[in-house]
Amino acid sequence: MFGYIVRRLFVMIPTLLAISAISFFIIQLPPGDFLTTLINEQLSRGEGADMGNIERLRQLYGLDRPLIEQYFIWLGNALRGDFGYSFEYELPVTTVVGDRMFLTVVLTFATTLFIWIVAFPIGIYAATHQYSAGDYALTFIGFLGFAVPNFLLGLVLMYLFNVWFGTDIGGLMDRQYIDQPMSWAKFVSVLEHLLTPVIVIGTAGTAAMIRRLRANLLDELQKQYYITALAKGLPRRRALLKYPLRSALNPFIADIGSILPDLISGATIVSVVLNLQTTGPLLLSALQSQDMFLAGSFLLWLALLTVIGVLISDLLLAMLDPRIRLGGGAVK
Amino acid sequence: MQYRYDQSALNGDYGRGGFGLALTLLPLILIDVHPIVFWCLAAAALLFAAFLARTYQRQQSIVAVDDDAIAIEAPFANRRIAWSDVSVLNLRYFSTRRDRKGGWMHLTLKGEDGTAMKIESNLIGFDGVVDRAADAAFARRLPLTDATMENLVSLGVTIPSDLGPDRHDDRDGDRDDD
Repeated sequence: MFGYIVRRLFVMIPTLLAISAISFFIIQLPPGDFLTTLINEQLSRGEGADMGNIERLRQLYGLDRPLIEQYFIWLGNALRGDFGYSFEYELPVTTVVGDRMFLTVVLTFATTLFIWIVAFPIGIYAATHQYSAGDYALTFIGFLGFAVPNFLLGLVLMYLFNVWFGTDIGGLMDRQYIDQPMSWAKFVSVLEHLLTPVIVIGTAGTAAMIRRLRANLLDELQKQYYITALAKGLPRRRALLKYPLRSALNPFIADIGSILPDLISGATIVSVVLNLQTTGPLLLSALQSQDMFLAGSFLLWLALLTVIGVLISDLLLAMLDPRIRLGGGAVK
Repeated sequence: MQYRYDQSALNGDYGRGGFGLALTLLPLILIDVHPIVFWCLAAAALLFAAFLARTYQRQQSIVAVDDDAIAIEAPFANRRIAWSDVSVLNLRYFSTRRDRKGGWMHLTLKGEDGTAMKIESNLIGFDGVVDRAADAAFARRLPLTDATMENLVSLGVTIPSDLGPDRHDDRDGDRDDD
């Protein structure tokens, strides 16, 4: 396992460098830079552009240097924890992201927990009671979860929660806590507001997970070893939980790879509709306004979290399923 | 019979370890990195350094197999397990590719006295070692995991028909713990 971890880490380093370089250069692809956009905006408003100040900013952030040099300056600063300056918000990137990252982590964690807690028992029930009334009912609900667009479900739930419980429309906390330091009251307010986005974002994921768990578990339940185990008198529950379920867990483990990048970009449209103070809308706005340091930092974090997530799921999968695939051309 | 690790495979490991160590150590030396980045890079550098040390140990290793036992002579790791004492056999497969091709195997043997040895498939003559170890495991009727049995089959080892799914009850007992 140690050799596997080191080799996976070795693969990860150039991947990360390549993705960070691609992210940075993609940000640079549109003609001009943020300062050019700023000049155009000022001119369109009939204001004279302060060319002296523009030139000063251009030199300060190295925008007048060759692209490759800009990239290494950006990467070196990122390693120091300085992700640059958001031209749009006129604040350091770390300050702009600040609280939003914490809220996004809380939301993603809660949503993942919701998906697993709901999908796990339902998936097992649907597989072990195939073609029963319960299976049909749950399958129908699953298809509904797939079919209903998240933003539509979000609007409906916002209305219902407001009518039934008096919860504020949108947001992840009561208005008085926005931009305030974290406190117990703010934390409780966040928890109260979590229910709507967790259900909205988690519904499609839950439906997908139920379908996959059911299909995988059905495959395992028809295998010879499970039937033999039952024939030899192993209790059904123990036989189910110990062997087929373990094999059917692979998609859950593989999904860890996609959970981490969701911390940044997950459910952007839902976040915009529900007015959530998460990082998704910030990323969208940074890309729209060509706020290069903010957008570039987001893309770097996305790449980093994707690579780390895939590393974690690969390590777990290697532990769970260390089988050769016959005909796979292994080194013997 | 005596076996050694394939030098070209070891050269590849030296390359990976050295390149990885350089890529993680250089930023630590050249840049005043953020504390979180520092600990991540330092941990990765330690892993690569340990990997280099392990590759050197493998280069010096000689695996000796005879009718009575298997033994490894290596710096700080001389081990010997009699075939009659083998209590665990685990054969695992690892690949860093998404299609799981081009990987390598990892044989773990444990003796009754707790002695453990791990051998990778870039040992020249690995198939022969696995074949002999499997004979010992079958003779002692050791419980084998599904993965181990499938990997043995892929190496051309024939599994006795009485070592079937009914052995599953014990498969947790021989999980590799490295």
